[in-house]
Amino acid sequence: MIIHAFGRKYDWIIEPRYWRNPIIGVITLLALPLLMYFFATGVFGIRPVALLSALIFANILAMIGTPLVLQIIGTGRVSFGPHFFVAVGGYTAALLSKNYGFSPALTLPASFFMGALIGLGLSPITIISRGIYFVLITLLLPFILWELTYWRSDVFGAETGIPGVPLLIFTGDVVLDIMIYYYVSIAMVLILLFFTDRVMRSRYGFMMGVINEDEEVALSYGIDVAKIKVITFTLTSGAIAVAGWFLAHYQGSFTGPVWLQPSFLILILLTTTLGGKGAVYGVIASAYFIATLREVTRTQFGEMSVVVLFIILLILLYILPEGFWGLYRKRRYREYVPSIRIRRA
Amino acid sequence: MLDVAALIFSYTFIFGSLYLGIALGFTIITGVLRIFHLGYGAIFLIAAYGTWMFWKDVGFGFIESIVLSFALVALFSFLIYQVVIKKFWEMEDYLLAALIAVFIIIEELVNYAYPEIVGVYLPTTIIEGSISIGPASIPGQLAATSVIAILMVICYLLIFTKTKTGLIMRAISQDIFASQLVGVNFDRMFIVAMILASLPPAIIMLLIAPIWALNPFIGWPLFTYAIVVSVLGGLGNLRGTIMASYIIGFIHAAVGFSLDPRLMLLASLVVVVAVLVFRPEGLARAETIW
Repeated sequence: MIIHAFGRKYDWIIEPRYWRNPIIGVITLLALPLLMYFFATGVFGIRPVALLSALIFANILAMIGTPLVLQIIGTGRVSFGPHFFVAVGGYTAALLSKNYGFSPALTLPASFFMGALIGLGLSPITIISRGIYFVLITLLLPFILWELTYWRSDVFGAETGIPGVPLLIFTGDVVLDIMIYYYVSIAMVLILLFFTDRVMRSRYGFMMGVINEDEEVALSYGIDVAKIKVITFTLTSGAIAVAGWFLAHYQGSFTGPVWLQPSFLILILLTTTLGGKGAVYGVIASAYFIATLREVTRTQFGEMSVVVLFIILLILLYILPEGFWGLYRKRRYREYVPSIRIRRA
Repeated sequence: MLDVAALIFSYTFIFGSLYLGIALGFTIITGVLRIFHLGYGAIFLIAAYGTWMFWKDVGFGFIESIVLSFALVALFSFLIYQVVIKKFWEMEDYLLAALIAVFIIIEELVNYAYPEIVGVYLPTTIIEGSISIGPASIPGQLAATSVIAILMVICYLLIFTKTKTGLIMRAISQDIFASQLVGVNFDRMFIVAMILASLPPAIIMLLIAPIWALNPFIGWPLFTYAIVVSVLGGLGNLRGTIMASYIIGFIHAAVGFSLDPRLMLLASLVVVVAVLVFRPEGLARAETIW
């Protein structure tokens, strides 16, 4: 398709033969809550609200995991602090709406910009810090915010959090509300997925791939490594902060210490690793798998649910060396697989 | 003013030595194996709750329970190496995720078996009451823990500098491939290093158990101290770790006694992140463990 606009020519290659799988995927995701509501609840005996909440949690994991994959590839570094940006977004939304009466429509860009701004401030570490040191800095960031929330508990509310955040949706019908929340969250995931996919297929995405493989080679090709790293880290940090915005307006409060916990970090990391090496679509599959497994273990194993959940996920790490996407890739071979290395020099 | 200065001076030594003991094992693992052992915090839990389990639930004597808990810690380290580290050696993202997962599994298992309401208490007190140094009053058990931590570091330094095993470990920490060329069985040495590294945190945990309220989630805060100290010290360099321990001890003592005790960890975290940004290799470059 060729569009002539504003004196410029834009061409877009439309290839309907590649549309089948994305269409099937989107239809499945859109039909999932309705199917769950009408059929699965009767079979498994799980309350629809709990099940739909699990699907929303899957979308939250996907909202974080999708930009995180882009960040890992574009910076060539593995961040262990995505939940820090989730908390930044959540606190921005909660504080602005509670103290200044901002509506969710206003807190959304505010959360994104706050996440992006802090990401921009921290972005030099993607250039300066290498290997394990980058992991460590990003691992320590959530601890700093954690301590800050306890030190200034008058502002952040420590473990009680910030209550009274306006809800995104309130119709009075709990099931309907949660159904709408699902569709809002899946819409956000699909938008993120679309942008990520476009970026990965673009010239910019190609340069990101080269940076991930070898920075020296990228430099020798004339790629502005520092610029790409800073832009990628800044924008993906903002995108991750949007997940915090959603959490604050979905729960009607934001409690940082809950989301700054290592157990949440490991769920995010497992979402990306079990998704497959740098595979964005795999992240969606693993997010749904992990959230469903978390709900099933919670109902079946009670107090031992976390233990059982992590044992199963650990076993999956053993048997799926390329994650869920690897199962698909075996049939549909893809030439480029990003290598995720931490001990790189 | 003099009182505050005396307190800061005394507690710099106390905190510094304590953090040195906590971070010693972590530094050894990072220095020899060149991996970031995110499951390190589980060792504290296994040492404390393992002792309690053998003592109260199985019915062994207290001293036997301590010995058995050390054996359990060594077994845990051995299994972590064989089952997790060896398997994911070349897949670092998987390795780190798997190590944190193991830590959380252990934490939740301990929380299931011995939740906080059980009131786990280990009578490992060596010195009752307080010791007065000028105007500063220090809990005797903390002072004893500090001295033992320093003795442990001296013992480990002797192992690294005076024994053949230590020499091999230093060789591995300098260049793993070169050490392989001269016939080092690095697989066996890694297991020895893992087991050696698991003892200091276990000993420190048992010593602070009577004065530090035990709970199933104590592993993370202690692990945070180990990370902060090791990172500032240069990840895997014992000289750097010793310097970093006392710097962090000083920051904690100074902030705690002159500003706000709630700011102690926050202040050290900010300092460490700042150091990492401007001097990523830490205080001492981790080219060798010593």
